[in-house]
Amino acid sequence: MFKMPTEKIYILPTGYGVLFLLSSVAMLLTAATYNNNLVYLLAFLLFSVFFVSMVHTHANLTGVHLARAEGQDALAGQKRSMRLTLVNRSKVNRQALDLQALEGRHRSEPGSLTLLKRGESEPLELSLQERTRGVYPLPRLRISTTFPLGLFRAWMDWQPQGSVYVYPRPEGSQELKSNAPSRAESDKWERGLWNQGVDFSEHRKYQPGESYHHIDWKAYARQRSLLTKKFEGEGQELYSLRWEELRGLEEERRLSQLAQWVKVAHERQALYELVMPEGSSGWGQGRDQYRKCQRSLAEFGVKS
Amino acid sequence: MSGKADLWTAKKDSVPRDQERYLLLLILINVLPHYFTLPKWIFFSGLVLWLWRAMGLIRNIYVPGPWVANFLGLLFSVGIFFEFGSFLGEQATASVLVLMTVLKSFYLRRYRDLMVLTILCYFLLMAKLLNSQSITVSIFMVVDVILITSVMAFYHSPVDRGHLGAVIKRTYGLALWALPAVFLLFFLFPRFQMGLLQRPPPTQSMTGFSEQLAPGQVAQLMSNDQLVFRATFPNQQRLPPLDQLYWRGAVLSQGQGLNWTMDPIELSRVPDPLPRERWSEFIVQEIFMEPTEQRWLFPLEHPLQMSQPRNDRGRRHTLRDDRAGQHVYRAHQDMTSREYFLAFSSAEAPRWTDLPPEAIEGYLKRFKFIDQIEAPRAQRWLDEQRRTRSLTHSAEWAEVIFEHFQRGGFSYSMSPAEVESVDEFFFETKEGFCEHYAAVGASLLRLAGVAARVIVGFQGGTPSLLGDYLLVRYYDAHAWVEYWDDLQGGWQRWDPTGAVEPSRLSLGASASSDLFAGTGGFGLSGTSNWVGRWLGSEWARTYYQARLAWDQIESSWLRFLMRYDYGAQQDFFRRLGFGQAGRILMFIVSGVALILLMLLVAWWLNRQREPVRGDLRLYRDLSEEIERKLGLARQPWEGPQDYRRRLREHLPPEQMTELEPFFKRFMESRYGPRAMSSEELRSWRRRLRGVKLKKTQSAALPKGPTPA
Repeated sequence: MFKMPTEKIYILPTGYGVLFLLSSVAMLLTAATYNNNLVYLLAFLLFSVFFVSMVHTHANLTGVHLARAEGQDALAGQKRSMRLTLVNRSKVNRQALDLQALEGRHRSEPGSLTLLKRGESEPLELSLQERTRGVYPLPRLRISTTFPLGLFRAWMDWQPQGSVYVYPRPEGSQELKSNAPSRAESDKWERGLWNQGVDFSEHRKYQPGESYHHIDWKAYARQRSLLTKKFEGEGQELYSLRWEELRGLEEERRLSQLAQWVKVAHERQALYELVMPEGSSGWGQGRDQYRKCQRSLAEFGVKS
Repeated sequence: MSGKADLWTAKKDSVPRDQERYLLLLILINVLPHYFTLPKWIFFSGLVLWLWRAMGLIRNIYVPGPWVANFLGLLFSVGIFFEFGSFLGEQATASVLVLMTVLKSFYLRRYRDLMVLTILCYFLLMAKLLNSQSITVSIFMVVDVILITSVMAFYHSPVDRGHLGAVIKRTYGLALWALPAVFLLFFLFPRFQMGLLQRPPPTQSMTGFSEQLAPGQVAQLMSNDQLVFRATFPNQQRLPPLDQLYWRGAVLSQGQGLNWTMDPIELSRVPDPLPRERWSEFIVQEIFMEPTEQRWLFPLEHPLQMSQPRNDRGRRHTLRDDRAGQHVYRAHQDMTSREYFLAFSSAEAPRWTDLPPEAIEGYLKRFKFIDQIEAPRAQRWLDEQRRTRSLTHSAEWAEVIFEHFQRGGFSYSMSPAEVESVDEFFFETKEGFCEHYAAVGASLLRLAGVAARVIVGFQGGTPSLLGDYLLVRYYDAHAWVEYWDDLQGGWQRWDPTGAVEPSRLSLGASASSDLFAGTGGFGLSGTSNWVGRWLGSEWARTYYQARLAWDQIESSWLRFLMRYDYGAQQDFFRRLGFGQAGRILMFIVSGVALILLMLLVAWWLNRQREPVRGDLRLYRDLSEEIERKLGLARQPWEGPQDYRRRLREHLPPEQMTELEPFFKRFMESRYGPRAMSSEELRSWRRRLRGVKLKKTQSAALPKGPTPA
């Protein structure tokens, strides 16, 4: 006759729903005791409202889908969070939706959407429990509602794909030493830079003696004077952050120390690479490099 | 497991202020209707407490916390217990509910309190329904259910907060959806032959019909225009003339002059009501008793049988006195709710012709007993009559006394002078009400040696607007006499009031009493002029007409509500073609119908989803098929290009070559200028059905795209 929504919606009466039902049963008994048809009518009215509200609660979840779920990385011991986008593909506005992340037995603080208009989508952020360093799959999500009367709770579970990285806390007492490579390799670095597409920051007037690689020929073609492209971190320090250098430290402290160096290097807008036993992150700078390094620290030793 | 509790008890804790306001209003709406039934001190305590609470909200005055409220609750419980002697019974329960609800509102802090209070409001409503089922109350019930449910919904609809109207509208829609199920359940839910549980004894008795006769007794009912019962005459074309309608209540055989009391009566069960084939032999009355809190029933004279219809096994309520031939009927317990009876009467008084004279003589002895009647002057007057007129038969005596009442300067008055004895009335004051004439008339008959007794009940009634039923109110109360007719051998009705006030009998009490004094033109004593003028005016006439019109509607509603019981339901099932097994069958049918109804609602609500048509539908079906067979679910954020790329990675190429053209064409149709025609859609559907989707050998297929 009709097609039920594809996601399974579960529904159970709430405690108040049970109380409501028991009340209508009590009224039914009273009606039978007094042979009072009007009380029968009242009891049946409540009984029917109970069941109709069940259908309404169930319907309030149909057409609601998870459009996007993305974990926000965090430091160890910090609250993680995830960003979601819910979309309402039905023709009716949906109201009073509660969202929770389920991680094993733990349930996150519920986030709620008061209104999800028909055909529209809404973003939502859920905060997750703090965790130790590592990589965690995104938790199962439960969307639930008690709309319209609070007598029933309908819910639906989603398992989004993806993971949340928990970075090691940047801690450590060891000084970050510049271990710039030799002058001979310098030109190679610059070409490397070029290839890696490090962030372009500004133009500068060409000074005789600068590398031809960085001249903006296109700008020259547009009738301008000869300009050099200036890149972030150019002419800055170079760091190679190495796992082996911290021999003697306990594993987590070692990671924390490396995280600390990565952070310092990032703050100094330096060019850096992280060399872990599995390999090097490659040279780089800026936010992408920072995140890449933090993630590889988070992943370290985690069985996947 | 604290995390789990969060989910199930809606952790929205505090109750918003506007919500609090609506809830308090709701409580007031549900407490006020109890004004008419609760003891005044309980009602007003509730009201004052409510006002206190409301002032706390509006003016921020001090409102005690749960401790004080609990203490007050305890105090009131003790008071209620002393008032009623128990917590059972409708009124005691209603009192407890009213005070409990108001006191509960004193600690309206959390979501839980709110839900409990709304449910208490439903119970307050139910307590009202136990007490009245009139049309007004029925309409109030429907409106109130919507209001209570709206307040409940208000909290759960954050969008509509502050728009009570919107919430009420939605709840109204919800109730409309519930309506078919309500009707279904109402007619199909099995009724029981008897009360399911023992009903608690009534806790308070209303003033009403009295079992003895004393001066002023009936007159006191004159100001009471409450309804006692309604009656219809199912086998009569029209209502019988009012002056012939004597509704028999109690028989008072112990005469003490002006005071008459009842013999102790022994009641026995009555058989089942007569079958319809035999109805033509009788004047049949359907009597719809109001909850009088008493046991007396009032069949039309001369009643032969009265019973509660459709209660086979003759289980309750109608019993009669066989032994003394009094033909009085009583319910076997006080009528606390409306009840429905059938009475069978004959126009002729029963004759006792088959009994030997000695037996009759012995039987009549009790009704000639005059030791307690002291009336020397009246005795002398009777002796004189006997001498001058040579009276022998009882009918002659009755005629003589009747004539004397007519010609001897007697008058009818609602507020007669107080009299102490028969003589004082008969020779001095000469004004009185039906009870005086009945008591004195019966005393005189006995003094003359005629067996006589007083009957109390009702006389006449008010015809309904359409004339299809009769309303009998307390002010229709009447007393008359029965004497033993020695010629015909039976009890004969004799109404001495007719001698002084014939219109009392033909027009009904409402015409002759003060209520209609202006139109009747008599009995104005004790009524101030302006009242009389008002009562005589067109306005009063209109008012009474309107009241009758309303009663017409109301009574049909009540008749419907009361007639539908166990027996009526059986009839209904039989008419639908279900026999004896009907009950169980109907139970199943109602269950199935209920489920179907819910599915209908579900369908309606789901129907409102955006219909997916055409190519998109085809694409969705295909991806669902792939998900089912191969576990490769299309992710909500995945476009067809991405999905195809992922499928390429996991599907064997020969399958992919079959799918590839569809993806290409779909994207073209969806995002390009060439949309698929319906024929093309059909051909694609056929083509895709032919594709055999099989898993490849590569062991585990990931469920979704792996994050880059």
